[in-house]
Amino acid sequence: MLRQKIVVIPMTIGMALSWSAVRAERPVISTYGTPGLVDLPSARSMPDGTLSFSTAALSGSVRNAATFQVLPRVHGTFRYSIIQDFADNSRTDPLALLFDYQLFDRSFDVQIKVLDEARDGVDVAVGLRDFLGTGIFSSEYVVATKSVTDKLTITGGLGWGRLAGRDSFKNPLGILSDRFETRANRDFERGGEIEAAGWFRGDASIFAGLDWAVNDKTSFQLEYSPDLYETELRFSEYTLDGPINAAVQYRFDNDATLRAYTIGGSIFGAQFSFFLDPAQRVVPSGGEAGPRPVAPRDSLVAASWETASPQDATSRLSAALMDEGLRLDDLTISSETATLYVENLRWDVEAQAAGRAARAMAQTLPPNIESFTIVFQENGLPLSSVTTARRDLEELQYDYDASWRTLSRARIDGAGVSGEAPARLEYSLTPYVALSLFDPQSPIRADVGPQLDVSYQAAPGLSLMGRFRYPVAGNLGDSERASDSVIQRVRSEAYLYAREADFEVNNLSTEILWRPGEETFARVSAGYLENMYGGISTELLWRPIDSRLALGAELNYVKQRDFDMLFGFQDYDVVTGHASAYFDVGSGFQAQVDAGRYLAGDWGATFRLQREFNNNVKIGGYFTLTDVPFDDFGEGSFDKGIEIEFPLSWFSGKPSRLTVKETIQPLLRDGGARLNVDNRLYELTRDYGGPELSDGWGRYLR
Amino acid sequence: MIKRALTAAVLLFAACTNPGAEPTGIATSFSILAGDDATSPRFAAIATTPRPILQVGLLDAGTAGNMLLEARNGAFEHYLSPNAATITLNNGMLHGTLGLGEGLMATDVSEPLSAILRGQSGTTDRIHTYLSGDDRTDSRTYRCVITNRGPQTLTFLGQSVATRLVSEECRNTDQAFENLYWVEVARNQIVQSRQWAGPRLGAISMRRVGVPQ
Repeated sequence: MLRQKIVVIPMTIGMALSWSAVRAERPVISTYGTPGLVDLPSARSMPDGTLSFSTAALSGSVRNAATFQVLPRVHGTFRYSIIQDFADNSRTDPLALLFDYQLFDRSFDVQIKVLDEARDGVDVAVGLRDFLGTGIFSSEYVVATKSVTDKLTITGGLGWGRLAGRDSFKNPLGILSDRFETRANRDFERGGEIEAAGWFRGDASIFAGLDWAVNDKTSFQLEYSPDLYETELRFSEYTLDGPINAAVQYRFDNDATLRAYTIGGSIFGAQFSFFLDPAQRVVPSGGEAGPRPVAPRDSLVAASWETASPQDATSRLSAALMDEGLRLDDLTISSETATLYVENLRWDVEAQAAGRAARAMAQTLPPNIESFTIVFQENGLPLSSVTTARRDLEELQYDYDASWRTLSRARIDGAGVSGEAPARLEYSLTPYVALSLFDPQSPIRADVGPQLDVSYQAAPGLSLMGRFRYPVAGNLGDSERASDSVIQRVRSEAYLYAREADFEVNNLSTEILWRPGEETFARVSAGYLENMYGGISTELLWRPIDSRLALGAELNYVKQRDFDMLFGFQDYDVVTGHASAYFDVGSGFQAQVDAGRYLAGDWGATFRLQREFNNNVKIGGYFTLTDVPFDDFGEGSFDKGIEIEFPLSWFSGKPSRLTVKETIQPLLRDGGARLNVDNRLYELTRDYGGPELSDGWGRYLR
Repeated sequence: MIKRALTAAVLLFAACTNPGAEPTGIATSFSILAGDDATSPRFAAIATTPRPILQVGLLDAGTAGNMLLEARNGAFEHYLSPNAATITLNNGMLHGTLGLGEGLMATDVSEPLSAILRGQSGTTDRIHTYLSGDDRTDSRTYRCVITNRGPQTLTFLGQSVATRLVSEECRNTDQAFENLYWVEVARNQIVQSRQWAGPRLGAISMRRVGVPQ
């Protein structure tokens, strides 16, 4: 069973549970959701790895933003803004007012710190605001921030674009080249391109401001901002009275802040923001049961071993494992060693599963067994093995440095090539929620209903599976916007599937997983592979147990399914496939490149970079460039997105294989689209690789 | 009422899976919202036989309860709470606690333990290993001053017990705490204590009560 993905709205949970252990310096968050003053950016950054979330409402618009401190000196922001009165309207029809004249806008910022106050005496940063989206906030700046006293911080800078609305002057960069002196209008219709050609062009303005902390809780921000709010106010009843913005902020104990502010003295707003440190689980050590002690062997009832049959040992161990969310696939015992084939159903940290399995073995296996080998399997496919001496467990369980000492004594191997597992039927009937977030017409769409999952594992690695859904309520199919795609509509008609399907056959397929060699994994899947496609998918992965590099190849032949999501197919079929490289860059960064042919028959590559915290929180982004021209791709120009994934246990404090995952993708278009096949091998095997197991070893004895 | 409805929904959906399956995403989300304080089967299994009890008070949280001795391994005693949180004692000194919100994986208290049981005052080191929110272990050393505070008489189950009170004042660059131990004179054992578990949980009061009569 691969980690299932569930989707919830991360912001709500984060708000409820946001919490920090050791408070590092956290900056004021501007209405744009970045470190700043009121509207203006500052040169400050957040502590490395921090996420901030912010909602700022002011007359006529709302800005929701998430900022991630990607590196100590680099932060990036995603913003979803709702702007009322975006277009002129007669104001007669309230519905038109609500739906037609609002703009739902997505934008991205990035800021890089060039000088650091601690080292250089002043923070200096360069930033790009709204450099990818439609460009309504488009601006660039150079900004400096310095602490004058403990309580007073001053900020000043030079801005272009929207930050050059008032008292602007000829671009000083004009000395370098004349072309800096004019700023072209953004290609609004299409959006999504990195419009580097316009950066730092056109007139410039000076901005400045200060942050004054009255005490730990209360602070004031005051600024002179050149922003004229032309986009928001063009058709609005509001007007901007002047260049001075001011805010008063209250900071709660958990660093969440509430602000009241005014833009220009005539427009008023309120803002809430909070921080989240992905490296700090809500309950750092988890709320799960403590592990059972490893009993000394002389205390095990020796007599029972004399009469017990091997079946008794297996069933006792099976029960002990089931209690720990581990499923025994097979147990082989030779004179002094026991090899356990097990599937981890519960633990998001695989090393902890290894620890619990070893303890269960120590509790139940005959005293003469000295060595425990635990082979982790998924669907009967062996992934890796952990071998521990029983003596080491007994000796080190009370050692204060047991994590390191057990790791240094354990052996992590690639496991053998053949799996062991009995035939097995599994099923579950659960509710499901299918969500679509932040689409350009509606912040949230969803379908809900019951879902039936059935799988039958006929032999190790050979499974038949089905997933069926019946949407009871929802609005996924309500999208009024018909696909305007000019290339093959391989994904952009998702709304038609949602609209025309009642009973959905989401998946009905057979899958074979096996290991052709010590360092390779293979998969063949055939049938109705996903909502929109059926066919055959094949994959090969080379992934040595302790390697930072893995290489894969995938080849599929698929046909587009009927919109009713039953058994028929449409006319479109395609051969699609990729060669992939997965690389652990170090410092918690993971890179992936997939190059090949996409669903619409387009050729290209996807580049993905992810920051992965030791506790498996992952935050990253990707983009795909193919031979589909930007104009043909349509809105967004090319596929790109932000991916954020938290283990559910991060919030709940209870171990679980479930994760909370959200991909913020500007639009589901047809260029650069891939098949959504289950159990891609890298994802399936990676968590049980040597580096991942070692990284989680802090929880081995938890 | 809402909590009950949510729990019912969880049970409804949890019931529709094959035996041994883990809770689904929605069931888990519900249980986070509804709270989950059921007695663990592991506790229920040992609660059927009379066992030594550890009376525990979480002084900072202001809650108290009893834990049962689950296993004894030499000098180490493993106590279990109804929701399967654990406290491990080494000769009565706090060795570890898990599931109570503090990931105290283990300690090395050999120096203070030896001083306390010998009735000596002096300066010793102790080491605590915590599990971090990033799944790493983090060991910290504290420098402690042990002081014999003289005799005190406690009352256990209506009987007077002669003890000597020992204090242990510890600090490192970040933290400072004071532990108190009441050592029964007759058996030279810690029978009651107040010990600091860590920055999240704070101090725990513990009293070992034998098998109830």
